[in-house]
Amino acid sequence: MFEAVLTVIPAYNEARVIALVVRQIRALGLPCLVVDDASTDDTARCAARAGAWVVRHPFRLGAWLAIQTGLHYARLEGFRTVVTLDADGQHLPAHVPDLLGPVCRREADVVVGTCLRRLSFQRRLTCCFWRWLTGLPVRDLTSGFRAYGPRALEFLTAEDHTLLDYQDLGVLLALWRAGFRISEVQVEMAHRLAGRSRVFSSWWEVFRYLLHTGLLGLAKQRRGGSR
Amino acid sequence: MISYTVTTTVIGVGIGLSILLLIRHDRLRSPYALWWMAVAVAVIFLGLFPQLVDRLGFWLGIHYPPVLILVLALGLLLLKILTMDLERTHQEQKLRLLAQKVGLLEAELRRLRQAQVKDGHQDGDDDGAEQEAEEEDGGRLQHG
Repeated sequence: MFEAVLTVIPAYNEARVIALVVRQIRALGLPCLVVDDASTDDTARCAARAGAWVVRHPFRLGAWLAIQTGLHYARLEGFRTVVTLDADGQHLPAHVPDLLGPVCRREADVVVGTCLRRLSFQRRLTCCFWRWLTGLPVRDLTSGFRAYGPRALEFLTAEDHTLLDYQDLGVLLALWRAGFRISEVQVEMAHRLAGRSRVFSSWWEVFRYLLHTGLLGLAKQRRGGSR
Repeated sequence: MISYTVTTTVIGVGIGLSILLLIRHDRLRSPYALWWMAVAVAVIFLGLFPQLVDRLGFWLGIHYPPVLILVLALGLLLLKILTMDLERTHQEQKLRLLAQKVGLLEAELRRLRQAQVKDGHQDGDDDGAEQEAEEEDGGRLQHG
């Protein structure tokens, strides 16, 4: 059922936990690619030793670009579906099949794994604002636990999409505007093994995030029908 | 007190000549060179004949002609900055694509080299090769 599926983990300075995450994925029998976004620690080597393929960026490009590099890799190597997970261990590889279900059944082009129980107040607030602004049918827009089907893969590896900052929203919005089918699957998430959210580290960051993404949302209101 | 024409001439010709010099020494690339060339000519011209501004202001019905120059200059500067940011965005996109490509090519190269080393090892002609390559690989990863 899950042939030609590649798991992609964007990682920046996650040497402490990356090996564990990679081993869990490999135990499921899935190939795993770690895109090291120019970490200053041993992330790349730890991932490679744990059995992952590793692509390293020459300098830091951000989370979305790391994911996009993974999507490029997938297409080059003939994979048709990609599942992305965070490197900090909060996305449980055991839920990967749940995410793949709708994509494999061709019910959706993109599946977002959400855990409403784990949403902080700030995150809930921003997501509410976002749903109101854009009409996106997803409750946790910031989740990086996603499955991308073949058509989404092709769409997102286009040159135009190298400038999608704010990967969580920018990417969903681009897909939504182009008429791709986005669906949501409830999953359990673990506590982060390391690090903390870089987006919601303070109220100032939340404000900045809202400002930037709010502009994005206003500028890219959806027009036209579904694909 | 010197005439204000001397002041405007010195400023205008100074700025204009500096720009022309930069273009002459290939410090400004073609599309930008054209823009700055036009700026240089305008600045020199207005520096030499500042009365032109008064005349132009009068024609355009502006009571205080120096404002005309300020507004025009500000408008053109805004336009220039906007096009600069457009250009920067374009360059950023190309830079990102390039960086991704470098990463992917490096990974491919690493894989090919490992495969080569493995082949060599199977042939039995160099026992130490695999370890050597692994070490080199690790070292390269670390240095990034």
